[in-house]
Amino acid sequence: MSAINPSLALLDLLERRVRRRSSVFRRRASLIVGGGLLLAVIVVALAAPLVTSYNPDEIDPLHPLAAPLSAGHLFGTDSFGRDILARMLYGGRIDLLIAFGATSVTLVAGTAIGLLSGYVGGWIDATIMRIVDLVFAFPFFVLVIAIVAMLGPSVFNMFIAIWMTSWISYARITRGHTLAAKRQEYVLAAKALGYRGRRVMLRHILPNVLSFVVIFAMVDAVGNILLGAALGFLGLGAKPPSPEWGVMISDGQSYIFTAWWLSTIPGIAIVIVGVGFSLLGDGLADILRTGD
Amino acid sequence: MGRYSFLGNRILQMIPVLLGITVITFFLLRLIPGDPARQILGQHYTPKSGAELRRALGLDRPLWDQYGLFMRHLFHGSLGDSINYQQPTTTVISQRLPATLFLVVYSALLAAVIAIPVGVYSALRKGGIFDQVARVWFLVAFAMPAFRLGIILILIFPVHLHLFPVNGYGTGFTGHLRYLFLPALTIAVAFSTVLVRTLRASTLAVLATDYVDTARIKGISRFAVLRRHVVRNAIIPLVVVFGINLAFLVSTTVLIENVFGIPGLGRLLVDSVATRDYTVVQGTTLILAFFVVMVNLLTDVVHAALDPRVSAG
Repeated sequence: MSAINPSLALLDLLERRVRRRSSVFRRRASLIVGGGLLLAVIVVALAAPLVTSYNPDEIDPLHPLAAPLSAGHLFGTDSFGRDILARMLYGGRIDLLIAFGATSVTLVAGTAIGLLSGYVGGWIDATIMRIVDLVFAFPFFVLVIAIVAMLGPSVFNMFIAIWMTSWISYARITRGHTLAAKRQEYVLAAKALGYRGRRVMLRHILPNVLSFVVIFAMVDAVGNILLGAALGFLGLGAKPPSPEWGVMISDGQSYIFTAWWLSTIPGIAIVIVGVGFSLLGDGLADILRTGD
Repeated sequence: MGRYSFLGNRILQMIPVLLGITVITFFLLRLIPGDPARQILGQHYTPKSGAELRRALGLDRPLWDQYGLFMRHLFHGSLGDSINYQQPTTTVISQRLPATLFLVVYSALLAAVIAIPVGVYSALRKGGIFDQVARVWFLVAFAMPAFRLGIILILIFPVHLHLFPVNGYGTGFTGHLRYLFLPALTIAVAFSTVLVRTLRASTLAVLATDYVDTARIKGISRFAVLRRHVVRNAIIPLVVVFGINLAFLVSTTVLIENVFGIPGLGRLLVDSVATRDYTVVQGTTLILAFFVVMVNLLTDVVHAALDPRVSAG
């Protein structure tokens, strides 16, 4: 749901003007805690086979719905007797892939488009911005569902739907800052030296614009994780028996009265990753903006 | 620029956006890989029925003709027929629209009820315990999948406290209020995470202005300053942010309708994906996008009414 937050970036500036005094330690703290949380999740997801000996898809009909902390199963088992810890770890790979895969592609494409649009201007800019306005008019989630519906529900088609729709936020942010940078002396100087447009864009403007984009990407990653889980939950993204966290929550919903942990544990995992990205974004924002 | 020409201008600006929305929703159906007629008909496909459907959808004509046809139908209030419901898509949609509208308005009001006191109080006691707790809470709530929160609320209220119904829409106004309370609360919690941040920031900005200092120096009571000067001005950005995030509100509503089994457009959309009822998917997308554009116009008008500087240009 990336369309939520370009406003936050702007409002943050407002907030920042008032909140200059927060201590250096607090600033670093959100960066360290956020980065730490994310890193921990990434490491255990990648090292899943070392952490658990269970196969996430292995069915054990004799031990269904075992409670957490029961013998051999730290997080218990689901209705098929599959080990939840193993499913969480392997499912984490899918959700992290969604966060990075969806976010990185739109980040690169959107930034490139915004840079070009803002720097070149003219009819190219006008055309691109009209497209951006249009896609912006749609409720993001609805448009993604509609595209997934047409292409057929699957994880890959979900990526396509996100790529098609969420580059617009990056394009908007980059274009805005590129327009501002174009009037700055360092860009005028680079142009006066006779550098070509490509060099000015990539070597001079991009590094100055990138921090805003990266900060937004952190918020966007939270949105993409939630989106991936929501689509899995609705049966429009990852499909059972995939251990994707949204699918696990959806599976656990039928056992909510008897086995609360089935949907609670993946819910907590999503919150941890989301808080990790949010804190990392806050921390980066503080450092990058007070740096200038 | 006067207020009326401001309004006129905004309406004129909307026309290309609305046209663009029709172009995008028109092309949605072109995304179907392979032969759309075969996909739509599924097991009912025969060469004859396929050819008929292609003719009905206008797939045998050039693209511009097809778009012209789509628009002509749209102006006559038709979005094609639903394959699944055997009814005009507009009929299906208009049956589902009230539940969604009710839910969106309900959630927006609840979100305001949550966000305004929390946002203002956090700003007044900046750095205090309440501010810190609120900050952490909204950090967590922002990362919490809204559908998961809905499940928790179902577990707490209907199951343990026997307080609210688990799902459905209820009958009559009070019935809707009761049945939709938990879904609306779920959406409101998700939505308020965005609003609180804005409101806290804008309240802090207002508190730092000279006119607030002046009002205090004049000896006006703390509460009166808060009500007449601070909150009034701090809420203006909230209207703007509400407009910007309206799409997010609608998106969350679509999701939550599916958790609580509410017969609204979101449920219709997801059900139609499963039944491959493409015209309904197309129609619902179009209507929801139109809705967002219209309400955005409304928030602009409200913004202009609250803050005369906007229409002054």
